[in-house]
Amino acid sequence: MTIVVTENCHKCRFTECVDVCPVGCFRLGDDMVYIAADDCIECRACIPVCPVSAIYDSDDLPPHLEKWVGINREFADLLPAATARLDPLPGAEERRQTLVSLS
Amino acid sequence: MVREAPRSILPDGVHTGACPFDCPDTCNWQVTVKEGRAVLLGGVRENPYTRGALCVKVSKYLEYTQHPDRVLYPLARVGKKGEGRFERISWDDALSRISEAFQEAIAEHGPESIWPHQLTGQFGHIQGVYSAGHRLFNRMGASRNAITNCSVSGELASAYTVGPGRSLEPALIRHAKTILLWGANTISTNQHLRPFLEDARRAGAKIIAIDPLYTRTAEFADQHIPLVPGTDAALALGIIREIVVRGVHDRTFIETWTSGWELFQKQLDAYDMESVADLTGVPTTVIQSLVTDIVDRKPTAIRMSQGMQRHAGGGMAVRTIMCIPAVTGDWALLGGGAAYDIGGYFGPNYEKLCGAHLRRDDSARTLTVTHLGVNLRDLKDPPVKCLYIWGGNPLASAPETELIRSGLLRPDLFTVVSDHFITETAKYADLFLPATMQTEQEDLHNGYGHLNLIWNNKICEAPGECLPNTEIFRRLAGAMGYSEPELFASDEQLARDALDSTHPSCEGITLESLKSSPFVRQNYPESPHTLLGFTTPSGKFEFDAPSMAAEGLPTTACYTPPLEVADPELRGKFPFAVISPAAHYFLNSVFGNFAPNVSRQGEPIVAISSGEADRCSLAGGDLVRVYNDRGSFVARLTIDERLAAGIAACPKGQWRGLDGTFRNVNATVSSRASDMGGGAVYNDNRVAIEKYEPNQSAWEEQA
Repeated sequence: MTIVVTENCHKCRFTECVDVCPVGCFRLGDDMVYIAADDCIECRACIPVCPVSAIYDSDDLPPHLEKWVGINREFADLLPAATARLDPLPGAEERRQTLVSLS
Repeated sequence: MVREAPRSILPDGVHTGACPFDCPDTCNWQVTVKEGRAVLLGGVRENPYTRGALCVKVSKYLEYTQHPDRVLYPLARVGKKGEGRFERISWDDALSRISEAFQEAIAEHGPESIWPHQLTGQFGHIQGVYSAGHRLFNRMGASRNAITNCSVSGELASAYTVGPGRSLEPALIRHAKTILLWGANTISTNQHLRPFLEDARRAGAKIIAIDPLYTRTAEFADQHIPLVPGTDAALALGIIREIVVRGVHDRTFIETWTSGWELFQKQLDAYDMESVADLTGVPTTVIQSLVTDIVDRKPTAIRMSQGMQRHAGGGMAVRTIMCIPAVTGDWALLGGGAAYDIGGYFGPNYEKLCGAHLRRDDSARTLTVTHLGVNLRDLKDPPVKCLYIWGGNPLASAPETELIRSGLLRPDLFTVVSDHFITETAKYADLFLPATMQTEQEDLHNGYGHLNLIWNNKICEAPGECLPNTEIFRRLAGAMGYSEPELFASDEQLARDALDSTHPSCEGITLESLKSSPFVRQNYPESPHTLLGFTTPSGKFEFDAPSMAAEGLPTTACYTPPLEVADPELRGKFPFAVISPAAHYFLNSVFGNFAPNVSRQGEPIVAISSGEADRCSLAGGDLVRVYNDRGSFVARLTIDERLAAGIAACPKGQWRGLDGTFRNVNATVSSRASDMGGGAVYNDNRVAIEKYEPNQSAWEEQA
């Protein structure tokens, strides 16, 4: 029923998603971003652009990632909006390569 | 099981097109083709309106093209009308049966006995509402078809007031400081305007939603002003009177840019604060503060949408609301004015595109789609003998569906339906013709909420024997024995004919330029509206439009009350004024059969406040029968405390009710016409609500 950011974003935070989001629904945490479900229009523009495939439609969410629906909701309420694309976190590229090799 | 993506006819890479649906946004989309398959659908990022996003309705369109229920071959009915039993036949067989039925009808009753009943399921200038089939049916001399279910009243109102199709470009709303989303659920039905609203809000704009319902847009706005459905023009006149009373109307603008002010202002005395509060249900303090926002935070941009004009005085409501920025002079400021359907900025050569010269007898009658049921029952001289329906599912989307159903059951009526699925309407067809979907055909799109033109590339192979509308009509022209070359023009030739126009919007725009870019903006600058000019007969904003007299309408903008909503006697019998707004996850009735959208939208509901539920001895979660003298449907009762007493809300587009029958809110809607253009009155409707006992067959009981 919603679009969620999941664990692969953690310590990467590439923010391509922030760049494509038409409604500014991403929220900026220290080491990842979250989606404010109330603002998201479920357009899915962010899903394919994520370099680490961290973003899912909850309909397609693997069972072990289901907890992220609640996590997004909880953190989105606490955090400021991500308004522009940022540099990835240090080590993000190495982490991405690890994640790609694991997938 | 992993779904195999649709097979592409284009090389690997990204190919662009347009969403085909009846929506102001007409998104610029792109399909990624990888290893010969269309693997991903998204929005075109560089399009300044779409900004890389589609919407929740359409994002899974590639999957939708592979819907397991999609019909891939022509079918002929083998069961009774309405049963939905068909057998596969060949295209040649289908076309010869249609041509035989048409020829027989023409011989016995004349060509006007054929009704080409086109609806808005496919927009676009080649495959869709603007032209598909028009050359053939003009050549045939068939009855003309007027699509009156949606926007027509407001379009005519807009034409009388500011010029045809020439209201404010919605994207300019980002320059406004007060934004009235008036009868417009922008967040659900015009989603790509949201970033422009956010831009405006960041720059200090206040956003106010004026709507009887607490919609997603009301939630998004800074303030929500609910009002009695259909009293919008009274509120507008109250606002205008107060502006004049405060002495802050723009006399210079009125003198320079408008006509008819003297006549118009005579009526204002009747719209004092208290009277308007009584009529509209909006407290005087709220109207006062609304006026303060309008005059202190200039310019004001008003975004109207189609729902608001679906009542007895709907056209006049749009017209009168447009007068507010004429009184403040905001039409002269960038971002000021009022926006409705802006499709009329585009001026292709419709006469050539639709083959107007092919019609030999210009006197043919015009049939309005709102009156399908009535016309099937009552028309004589000639009666409707052949009905060809494409781009629509009237048994889900037109008013008074049970009257339509009985019309479609007429044994002497020959019905063809061209669609993608066996809709409820298609079950009554003698022949079913399978049409292509948007990724499988070429089309030329404008938008009625933006000024971009988009060429839609054919990207995927058509499945089975599905054909584009244009090809079906070319083949049918051949089967009818016609020989005029215009009837056999290719899709590209049709596009060239459309663009062969002297209208300024088309200047420099060719098929080649459209094909070489994802989108091309029509030749209009972003400027204050007065620089674009009013395209009315006087060249001014017309408070008084003498041309309306010819239609028997009051020439001066005014308040025309709703009919059923305002009828005290009817209120006694049917206590709820029911609004049927667009569903967030459906587009009219499209996607009402698509699991990802249906599961999000949920079951058919009707919402009322808890006070009203108590009064009717009902509780949230009850199965209820919603009814009036025209029909009934079964839905789940939900409680919405933000609804005023006497108001019910029922999102439209559901294919079936909770009793399992294919009846939705439109079973209760009257097919009478609004004030302008024969428009539909979906939101001027009264119903009663009672508990539904599952063993009771609601409809049989009515009969």
